[in-house]
Amino acid sequence: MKQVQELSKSFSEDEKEILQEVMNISFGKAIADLAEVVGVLIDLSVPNVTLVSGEDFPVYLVNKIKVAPPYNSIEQNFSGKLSGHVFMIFPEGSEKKLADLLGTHDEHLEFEDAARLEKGALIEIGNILTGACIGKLVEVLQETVSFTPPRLEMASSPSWQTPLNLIKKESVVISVKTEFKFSKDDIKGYFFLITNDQSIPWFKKALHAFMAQF
Amino acid sequence: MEVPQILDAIDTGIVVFDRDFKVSYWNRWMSTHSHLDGEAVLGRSLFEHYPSLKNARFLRNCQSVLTFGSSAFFPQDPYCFLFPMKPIGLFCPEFEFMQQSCTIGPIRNEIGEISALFITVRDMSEVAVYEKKLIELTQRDPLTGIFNRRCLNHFIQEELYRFKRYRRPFSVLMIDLDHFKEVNDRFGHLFGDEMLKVVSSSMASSMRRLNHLARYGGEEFCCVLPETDSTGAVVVAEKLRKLIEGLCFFSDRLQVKVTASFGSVTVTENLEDADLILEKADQALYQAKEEGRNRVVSAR
Repeated sequence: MKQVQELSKSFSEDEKEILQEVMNISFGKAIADLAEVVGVLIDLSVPNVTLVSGEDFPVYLVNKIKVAPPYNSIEQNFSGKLSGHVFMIFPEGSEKKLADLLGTHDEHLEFEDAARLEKGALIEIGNILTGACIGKLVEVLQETVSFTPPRLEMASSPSWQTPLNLIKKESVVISVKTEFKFSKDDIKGYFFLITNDQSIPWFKKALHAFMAQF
Repeated sequence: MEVPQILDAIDTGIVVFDRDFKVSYWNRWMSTHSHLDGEAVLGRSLFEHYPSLKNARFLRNCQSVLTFGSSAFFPQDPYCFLFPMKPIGLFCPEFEFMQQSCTIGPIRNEIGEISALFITVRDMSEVAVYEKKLIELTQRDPLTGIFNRRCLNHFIQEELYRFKRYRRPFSVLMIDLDHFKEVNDRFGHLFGDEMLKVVSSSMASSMRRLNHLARYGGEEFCCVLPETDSTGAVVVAEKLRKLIEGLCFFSDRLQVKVTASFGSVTVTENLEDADLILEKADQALYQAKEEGRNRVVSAR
């Protein structure tokens, strides 16, 4: 617990402001490029950046999600100098709308094929959102990261054991929450970026390097 | 020196191509499984040998990797494959094409710009075979091989979604073999089981692929008929009724006949609940039994 307090304190008010600014810039760039890649405008709300202790994070996560289960959740990891997890929530039924949106949904398809296409649409959109948000963040900080394939759990109640088990209780988590909304259809959900404890020293350096450019 | 040897030895396909999709690397795995050696592919567009890749999803994912420097993933489930290749080994008969898990990633030049993309291809046919068997175990009725009740609920929910979104009609038939208990009591359960198998396979093979026939329980079946109004549902039910009536079974040279009663229901704006749909179909089936069996009754 002492370590948590120390790390929290080690982010000065200035650094927290830079962190918020970097996230705003990154996600802003992501919106512009997402529209080009996906072909529709995907609006990302102003990212909400919070420092949370690993111990408090599960409760924090539950309180931040305003969608009633069951829903579709996608988890993805990224690694490099900045490493962590991405966790996305899509409401149940969004898979059909996403398949329609991507032009991959055919109402005459047989059950197995339609289910495959819907699953594919969720995986694809989830992966593109992760790529856009994390890709733009590391681009702003002049770094690169690698990604693991997305893991999808469809129409389930929360079972976040995997991502949460990876977060040590004594660690500090930088949680970045944004709500995404597809302009063409009523599809919205939550995107959480959760950084690993080990990334924080590099992250702080990168934030200062970013500010030093101006 | 070592890296090219490794890239040619690993059990993974590797392709490198530039922003114009011109191939610059094609490892030995790709040559072996595509039956195209490097000379036939290098310097040429990826789409020349694989035109099926020129689709919106593949292009969108390549664009995503180029724009964000991220990776794009095409897991075997749900995508099956990117490169149509013949499956090899023990799993040849299971699939027309090798089941693959593919990843697209960026390659950066010395100044950090993305100058090319790579694709890795892994053969997942063995995993896909086991997955297919598992799915069958969870979706199929073990005796008859048709869909089970759990799957039926899913089909009705799917059709309800389509009805709410596109206003496409659909109908549900509840089917019950007449006097089946007597068949079981007189000729034995093995004979009864055989009858269930023949009846279900005859019904399944006489219907279009779009319809979903499931075993509801015991001698009761349920059929979901997408894109079918009440008149169409009665036509299908009558066809099935006559088909069952025409079946002949033999027990010790004794001919045994069977008939079935049908309850039909068509979804309407006032009937948008799966349980209610099944209840209505069941009520119509009950009425068919009451009116003398071997007939079709439509729910009002």
